[in-house]
Amino acid sequence: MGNGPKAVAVAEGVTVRYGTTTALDGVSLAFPPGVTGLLGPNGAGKSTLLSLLSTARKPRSGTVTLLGEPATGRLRVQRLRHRIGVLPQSFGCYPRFTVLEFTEYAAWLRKVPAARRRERAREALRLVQMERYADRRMGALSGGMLRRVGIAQAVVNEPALVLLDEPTVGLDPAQRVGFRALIKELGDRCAVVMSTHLAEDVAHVCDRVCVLLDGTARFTGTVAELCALPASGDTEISGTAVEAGYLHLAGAAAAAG
Amino acid sequence: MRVLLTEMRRGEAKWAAALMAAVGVYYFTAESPADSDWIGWWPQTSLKVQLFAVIVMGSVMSAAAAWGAGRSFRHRTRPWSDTAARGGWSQALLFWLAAWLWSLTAYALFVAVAFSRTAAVSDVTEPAWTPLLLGASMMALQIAAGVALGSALPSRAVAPFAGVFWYGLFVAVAFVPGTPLDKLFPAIDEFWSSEFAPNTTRMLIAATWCLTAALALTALPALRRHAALTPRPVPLAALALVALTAGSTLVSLRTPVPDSYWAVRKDQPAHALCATSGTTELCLWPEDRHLLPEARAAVKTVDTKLGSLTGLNRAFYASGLKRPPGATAELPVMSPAESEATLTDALFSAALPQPEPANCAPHPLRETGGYPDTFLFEAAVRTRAGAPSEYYGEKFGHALERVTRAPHAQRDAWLDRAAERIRACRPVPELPR
Repeated sequence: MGNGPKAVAVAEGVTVRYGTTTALDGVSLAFPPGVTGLLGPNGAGKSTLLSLLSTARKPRSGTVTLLGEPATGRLRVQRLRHRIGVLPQSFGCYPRFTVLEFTEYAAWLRKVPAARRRERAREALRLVQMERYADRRMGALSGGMLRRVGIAQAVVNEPALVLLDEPTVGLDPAQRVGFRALIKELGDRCAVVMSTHLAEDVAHVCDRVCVLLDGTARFTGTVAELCALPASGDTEISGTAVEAGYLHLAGAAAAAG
Repeated sequence: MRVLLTEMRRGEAKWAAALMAAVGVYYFTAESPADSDWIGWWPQTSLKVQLFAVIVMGSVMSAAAAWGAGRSFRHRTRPWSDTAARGGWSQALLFWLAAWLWSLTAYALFVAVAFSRTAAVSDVTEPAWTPLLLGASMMALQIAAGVALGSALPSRAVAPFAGVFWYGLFVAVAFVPGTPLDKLFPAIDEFWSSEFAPNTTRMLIAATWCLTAALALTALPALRRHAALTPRPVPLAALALVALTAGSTLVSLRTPVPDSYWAVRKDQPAHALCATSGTTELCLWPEDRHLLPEARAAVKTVDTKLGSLTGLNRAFYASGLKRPPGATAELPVMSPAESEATLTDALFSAALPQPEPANCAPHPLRETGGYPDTFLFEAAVRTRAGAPSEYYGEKFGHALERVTRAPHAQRDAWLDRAAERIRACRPVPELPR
C-alpha cells in the first residue's frame, strides 16, 4: 500500500510507546478510499493506530497526514476533526437520550451547523436503518442497534474518513452479517479504516487489509493478495483464506522473532 | 439551542431543580405574615430569596451538575467525546448552562411566590433586584464548580462532595463573618429595615466576579484534556483577569462598623410618613406605608396614656430618619408586620428620656434594692399607662408603689422632675412619701 495521491490518511514512521512497551514501531501506512481492515491479535497496536488517525493521540515520532494536511497544531486538528468520524471499541452512550437526540448531540460535538443538525441526524439514522427508532431511548436499544447508532454518530458530519474500532465485537451472527453490509456501503461514500481480529470481517467487508503484529505492519495489500500468500494456497476470498494468510504472516513473524 | 434543550430535558439537573422548587415554594409560603421579618419589605424579601437559593438550592444544584458532568466517565463516552471537533470548554459549558437555566427557573418561581407575599402586605411596589442578580450569579459559580469537579474527576463521590462543600462553606462563613470568603461567596443573612437599600455597586461587582469566575472555572477541566480540546487562551485569560480584578476589589472594600457590607443607608425621604395624635407623633419611612393604620392607633393610645406628662419623648422617628433637635426618639421598626400592640409597646419604651451625655453612669437606687433609678422610672410610667412592665422583686415593687399610689398630681410631678433629671444624668428625686 503506497503513499499514493488518493490516500485519505497517511501514517509515516509512527512510533508510540506506553511506558516501556512499544505499541507501534515505525509504522508507515496509507489509507485510500474504500474499506481498509486492520487485522491483528490483541495488543498488536490496532487501536493505537486508530487513535493516531482520530487525532486523539500524538505519535512519539513520525507523522500523520489526514486529508492532505499534517495532523498537528490545535486549530488544524480541530478543523480536521470536522471531517473525521469515530466509533470507539467501547462505545458508550447516554441512556436517557433518544436515538435522534443522541445523534444530534454527536452532530453538535462535530460542529455540524445548527441549521443542518437535525436533517443530518435523520439522514445518518436512515443510512443505518434506525430512523424508525429515532424516538426510542438509547438505554432501550439492543447491542446491534447500539452499534448502528454508533455508526450513525460517526457519519453524522459527512466525514471523509471513518474509523471503526472492532465494530462487530459482541454482535450475534445475524447482526454481524447486517453490520458488514452497512460498513461495505459506507466504504462507497468515504474512506473507512476498521480494526478487527476477525478474519471473516476482513473477507466480507474490506477492499484492502493491513496486518499488524507486535506493533509493526507485516502486510499491506488487497484482501485477494493476502489470501494468495503461499502458505494459504487459496485463490478465493473467504474467512478461512484470510485466516490462513494471516497465520502464515504470524508464523513467519514468530520464526523471525 | 436544540442541544441545550435536550441537555435540559435529559440531564439530572431538572430533577434537582424540581425538588428545590417544591421545597422552596413550601418555604416561602409556609411563613405567616404576622410573624415574618421579611413579608412586606422588598429588600428583605430579595435577601430571603437570595439566601435560600444560594445556601440550599445552589448546593444541591452544584451536586447535580457534578453528577451530570461525570456522565462521560460513568457511560464511557470520554474516548468518543475526546475526538470531537467541539472544544472541552464548550462541552462543559453545555452542562453548566443547562443546570443553571433549571436553577434560574426554580429561582424565578421563588421570586414570584415571595414577591406576591410581600406585595400582599406592602403598600408600595419597590422590588430590590440586585440581591436577586447576585443570587443568580452565585448559583452560576456554584454550578460551575460542580461541573468542573464532575468533568475532571471520575469518582462518583464528587457530586455529594460538591454539595457538602458549598453548604459547609456557607456555614463556616456564617460562624466567622467578616472574612474575605464572606465577600467572595455571599449568602447575605442580614436584617435590613427600611433605612437600608442594597449596595448596588458592590452587588454588581460581586455578580461580575461570580459570573466570570464561573465561566473560567468551566474551562479548567478542558486544560487537562487533549490539546485540540483545550480552551483558547485569550478569552480564558481575559475572563480570569476580570474575575481576579472584581474579586480583589470586593476583598479590598471596607465598611464602617456597624453598617452592612452589602447595604447602604438610604437618602432621607422628601416627606416622612407621620401619624399624629395630640402631642405625640410617629414618623415612618414611606416604604412602611402599610403600617400607618397600626401607627395611628398606637400613637393615639400612647398620647392618651401619657397624657399631660412632660419630659418624656413625644416625637418618634423610625431608625434612619433624620430627627429634629429636642425631645425626640428613634423607634426601631423590627418587622414589616408590626402590630398596634408591638408598636405601642415600642413607643412606651422610646418615650423614656435618655441621658444627654452618652457616657452617663447608672444611678443605683437604694429603695429598689440597687436597681438603677431609670428602671423605676420606666416601671412607673408603664404602670401609670396601664402597660406591662418588668418585675424586679418585692423591694422594687414597694418602691414602685410609693410612686404609683401617690396622689396623681404628686405622682405626675415626680415623674416630670425625674425625667428632667435623667436627661441631665442626675439621680431621680426622692420618692413620694
